Order: sequence, then structure tokens, then C-alpha cells
Amino acid sequence: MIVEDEGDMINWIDEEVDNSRQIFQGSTHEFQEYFQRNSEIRSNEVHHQLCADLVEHIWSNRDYDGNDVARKNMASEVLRGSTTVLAVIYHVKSLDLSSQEIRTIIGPSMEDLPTELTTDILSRLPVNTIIHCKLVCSKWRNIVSDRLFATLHLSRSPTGLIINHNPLMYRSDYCFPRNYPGTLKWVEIEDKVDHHHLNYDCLFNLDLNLAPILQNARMCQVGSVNGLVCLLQCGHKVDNTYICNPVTREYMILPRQRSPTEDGYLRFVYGFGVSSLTGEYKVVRAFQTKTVVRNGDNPTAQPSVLEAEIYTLGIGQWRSLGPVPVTYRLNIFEKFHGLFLNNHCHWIVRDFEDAHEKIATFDFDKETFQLFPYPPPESVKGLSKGLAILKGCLCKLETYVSELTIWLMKEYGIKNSWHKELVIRREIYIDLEWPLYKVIHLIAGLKDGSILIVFENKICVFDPRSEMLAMSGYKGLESPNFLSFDQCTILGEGREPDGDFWSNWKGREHQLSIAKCWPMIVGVSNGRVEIATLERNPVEIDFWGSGGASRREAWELAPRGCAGRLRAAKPEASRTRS
Amino acid sequence: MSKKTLTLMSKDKQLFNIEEHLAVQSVTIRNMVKEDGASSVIPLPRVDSETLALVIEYLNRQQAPEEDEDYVKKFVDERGEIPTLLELAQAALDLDIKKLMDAACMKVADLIKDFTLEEVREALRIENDRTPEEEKAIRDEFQWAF
Repeated sequence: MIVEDEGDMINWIDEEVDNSRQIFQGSTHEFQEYFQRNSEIRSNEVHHQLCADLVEHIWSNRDYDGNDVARKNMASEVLRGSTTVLAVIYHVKSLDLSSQEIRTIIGPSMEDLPTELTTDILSRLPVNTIIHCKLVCSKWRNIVSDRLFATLHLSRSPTGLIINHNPLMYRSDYCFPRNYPGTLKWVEIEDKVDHHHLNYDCLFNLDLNLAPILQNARMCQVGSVNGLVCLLQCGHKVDNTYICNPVTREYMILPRQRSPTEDGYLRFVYGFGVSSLTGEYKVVRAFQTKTVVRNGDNPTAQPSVLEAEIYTLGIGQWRSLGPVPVTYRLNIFEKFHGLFLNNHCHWIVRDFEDAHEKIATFDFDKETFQLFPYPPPESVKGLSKGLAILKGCLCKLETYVSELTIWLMKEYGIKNSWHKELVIRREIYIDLEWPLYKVIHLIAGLKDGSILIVFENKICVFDPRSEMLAMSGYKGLESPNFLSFDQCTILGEGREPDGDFWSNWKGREHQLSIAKCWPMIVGVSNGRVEIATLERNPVEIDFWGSGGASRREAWELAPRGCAGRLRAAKPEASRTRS
Repeated sequence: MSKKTLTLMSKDKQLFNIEEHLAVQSVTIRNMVKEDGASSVIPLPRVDSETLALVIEYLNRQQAPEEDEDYVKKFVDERGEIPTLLELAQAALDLDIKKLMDAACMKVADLIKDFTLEEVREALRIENDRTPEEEKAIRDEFQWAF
């Protein structure tokens, strides 16, 4: 490869083309020679040398060719095809060009740009490539670790659906173990005015079953805010609370609540939300404990007053809120955790005295409970009820034998704005399993008017105009245990200690062993993972245990899609302990 | 009634004329016009003449509002080279032309999202300022992502 000076033009004589013409079939010698030359041409060293020669050539022309524009055009013409621009910059630098002149020749560097612009560009990247940005240079790392960046990125990130896929939950044979954490799956929703589409990438799955601490436990979802999901482990003798970011695979275990009485809880309910004033994430729980009352010879368990306590992420301990004043005599439905909307968590509650259902809310700013306007009572009582969010409004679902009604509160907090938005009649979809005593989950109303609903174990799309109900045809998405409709974000990635909440988590709750990723991942990088036990003593748990090959395969399948590409080194199987 | 014309001056002292009602799509220019009537030349010390020519081409577009979105997208798509886009984005930032900046940034993000680390560094001309040990530490931390 040579560089010839023909007046103003620089020509690259492309030997590859010439060579390939000379090759005739069957000639192994020439064929090999071709590849040898080809590799020489493509070798970095040669390329750098050529670039250096080229820059020198351009430079030596400078004195007698005073025309800056012509020179610039000439240089950019040649350098445009160059794949190793860095090498060129290096040589240009060695020739004492000012940065301004470099910029004139090969365009701007990201480093010259205002941080504002870089932040803007990076905030438009898909969430799974943000981690790569950390590696590019320290400036980028600082940018993506910034709290403002997280907020900006969140505002641009697509909505998605986090699904806990748990097929065993729906098995009819009771002998099968039911305490099984399931798999977290991620569905991105393309939500446009004229169409919608669910993008399900099975490689993004996060198999909770592989994490030892989660084994023999069932996971329930409390709620999700800004891409953080609050999970509750409700197995035998465990009730750990997790906050996790499924996208970055970071999680933390909340400390155990203030000790319950030995008799245990009668019922408890959780809520997860964020304060709009302080931006603090909080988990609130209301609970009733059992107290044994001796009535003559027959001891009976009586529910105690309903109490509440709150945990602010970053503070490190549960704080008692005392007895819940408004819902004092209310019996909170079990298993229904708070629905977060408009800075409040909402629960359907039942008043013991008049047996009426009501909505109780918890204000995450003021940390107080209140009663909330309830839709007008209907003549026939529904079999089960639930709350959901549709079009940004609070709505109440009520299941009957023949239909599902959806009430919507058009203006938040205004009692008169409750109206019956939608009725889905059972007869339009005969094959559908119509759960009578279970809450039907309404996931989301999409921009094209259709509504995502979960009937028993199927995700369905309901079109209110045509009254068509169709199952989303995704294999592997059936049997969801819980769902959450939320944005996918990098919020809460490892941050510099600048006093924001995530660094506080890592600092103060470290004794509770916050793994930076899901244990399965930590397990791969270290072979061992430190996990807090129920007694709060960190213990080392051999992650892989005797799991054998199948688990490893499962793991290898899992992370591949997380970054969307697996170009760098694959996980070293040898480092995992077997 | 003759339309008022403004003169913009690029970094390399080239002058560009543009009608005032089009130029005020830039919030920066709008504020300048409000403040002092901007009768004289408006200097843009960070924008070179080629980029300014592009910006002026954009400001001069004659699109119906409903087609505008598509036009901006096409406008940056046609100039799909990262150095040009970065210059354009910076000019749009300085001049405070939100739509243009959004589109240019989006396009850059689209272009680099599938790049490898090396490709990103090269395309944006960023030098890796970390030692291999530091880099390895981060790689280990987020091993699942690579």
C-alpha cells in the first residue's frame, strides 16, 4: 500500500482489488499469499505507520500550500476511512498541532463538548448500555453516576413490565413444592398512539431460583417506583423485604422489622413509594399482631390495634409510626399491597363496624394515613376487588360472576369524579379462566386505547372499542405471579459518596451485606457471596453449591441479553466453584 | 413590508444572513433581539461556518408543523456522521434550539449504542484515562453485563 502525491489528490492504491483479480481457483499458494498480504495491510502497526506518514505528508505540504480549507478537505477525505483515528490523533499530536487544528482536521472530540451535551446524549442510550459508559472514561463514569442523570434517563426510558414467572404456582397437584421464587422477566412495551407491541427478550430473564437465599420462598411484589421493585419474600419463617433494580441487578435487603410478638402477625400489608418533597424512597408496613386473651378457660387470639412502621432507604432502620389512627378498626385485606400513585399508597380496607369497604391512603411526604373517597356502592357486591392505575388515574376493579367492572377516578381525590369506565363481560371470551375470588390484575392502559389485563395466568389485551380480548402470544410469559408496570431505569447504580440515597445504602447498611448484584452474579465473579442471614450475621454461602452443570447453563443463558451483546470475555467458568 | 434580517458571524468570521422571524427559533437569538434589538452582527464564537450553514438551513425550513418532526429526523439522518452531529448538537445547545439538539443527540446515541467500548472511544475521540487495573475492577463489578 502506498501513498502517492498526484497534485492535490492522494490516492490509495488498493492492492486488495488487484490481488483478488489475480487469484485463480485452486492455487493455494497465491491464495495464502493473498491472505498474508491482506493481514499485513490490516495490521495495526502498518496502519499506524501509514497514518503517521500521511500526516507528515499533509504537514509538509502546509508551508507552500496555504489554503487551509483544501488541506482540511484532503485530510478528512483520507482519514474518514481510517478505523483507528486514535492513532492518527497520536501522530498529529506528536507534530505539535494545536487542539484547534486537530479539531479542524478530524472533527470534534467528545471531550471538547460541554458536559451538558454529553449528558444529554448518554441519557438517550438504552439502559443496558449505560454500564458500558462507565468504562469509557472517568468523565463518563461521573456523568452516569450522577443523580440528575438518573432522573433525566428515567424521563426518557421506556415503560416496561416486570413479570415474575412462576408456573408452579398454578399447578393443581398440591404435593408439588409451592414455595418457589420464580423468574423475573422483563417486557418492554412499545406504546404508540396507533399501535403497541410487547418486546420480550427471554435473555433478559433473572432466575431467582438460583439465589440460595431465595430458595424455598415465594416472592410477592409490594410495588415498584422508578424502576425499583420492592419484593417480599413470604416463605416459611422468612419475611425479608428486598428492593431491587432488575436492570442493573442490584438489590438490597431491608433490615428486619421491629420484632413482632412471638405469636406472630395476624396480618400485615406493605407499601413502597417515593416522597415527592425529599425524593426519599420509603417502605411502609401496617400490621396487626395477635394477642392472646384469656376468656375464662378458653384463650382466644385477638387482633391488636393496627400499627404502622416505615423504613426510609438510606436511614437504616424501621421507624414506628404508632397506631394507625384512621384505619383503627379497619381490617386491611391481606395480600394486597399498596398501589402507589400521586405520592400516596392506596389500599382497599374494610371497616369492622359498618362492614363497608373503603380506601385508605398513606402520604409519603407527611407520613400519615387517611381515608380516601370510595366509588359509590353498587347493589350487588363483587366477589373480589383490586386497585389499579389506568390513564394515570386511580381505578377500582370489581369481579362478578358475569363481568368485570372498572371504576375510574378522573380527578384524583374528587369523590364525584368516580365513574364506571369499563365493563368486560365474561361471555365475550368463553375460554378464559375467569377468576372469581382472585384479583384480576389490570396492568396498564396503552396509548392506542387497549388495556393490558391478567386473567388468572394469562396476559390479555383488551380493546374497549371492539370489545375484543386477545391473549398476548408470548410463550414464557404465561403464569405470572406478580406484575409491575414501570419504567426501566438505571436509577440506583453505584454512585460516588455524595450523600444521596444509594451511597447511603451502601454505607450504612453494609453490615447487612448489600450485594452489588444479584447473588448469582456475585457468585460468578467471586465464587462466593456474602449474604446476610436472618440473624443479621453475614455468612458466606457457596453460591454454586452442588448445583451442577444445568444451573451454570441457566446462568450463562441469563446474562447474555442483559447487555444486548456479549463481545467481551465470556464469564470464566473456571472461576466458579463447582 | 420588508422582513428584518439578522447577521450571524461564525467562529471563522464568516457572515450569514437570516430573516429575523426564522432566527428567533433560537432562544439565544430571541433573547438577544429582545435585549438590544440586535441591529449589529451576532457573533457565535463556538460555531464554525460549516455548522452554522447547516443550522441556517434548518432554521430556513418551510415545513408544516405536522411534518416538522419527520423533517428534523431526516435532517439529522442525512448528516449521519458523528463529528458533524456533535458540532451540530453543540451549536444547537449554544443557540438553544431544542428540537435540533434533541434530534442530533438522539442520532448520536442511536449510532453509538451498539458500539464496543473501543469503537465508542474512537468515534468520539475519547482517550481512556484509566489504568487497566481500574478498568478490570469495573469489569469485574459488572461482569454480567459484558
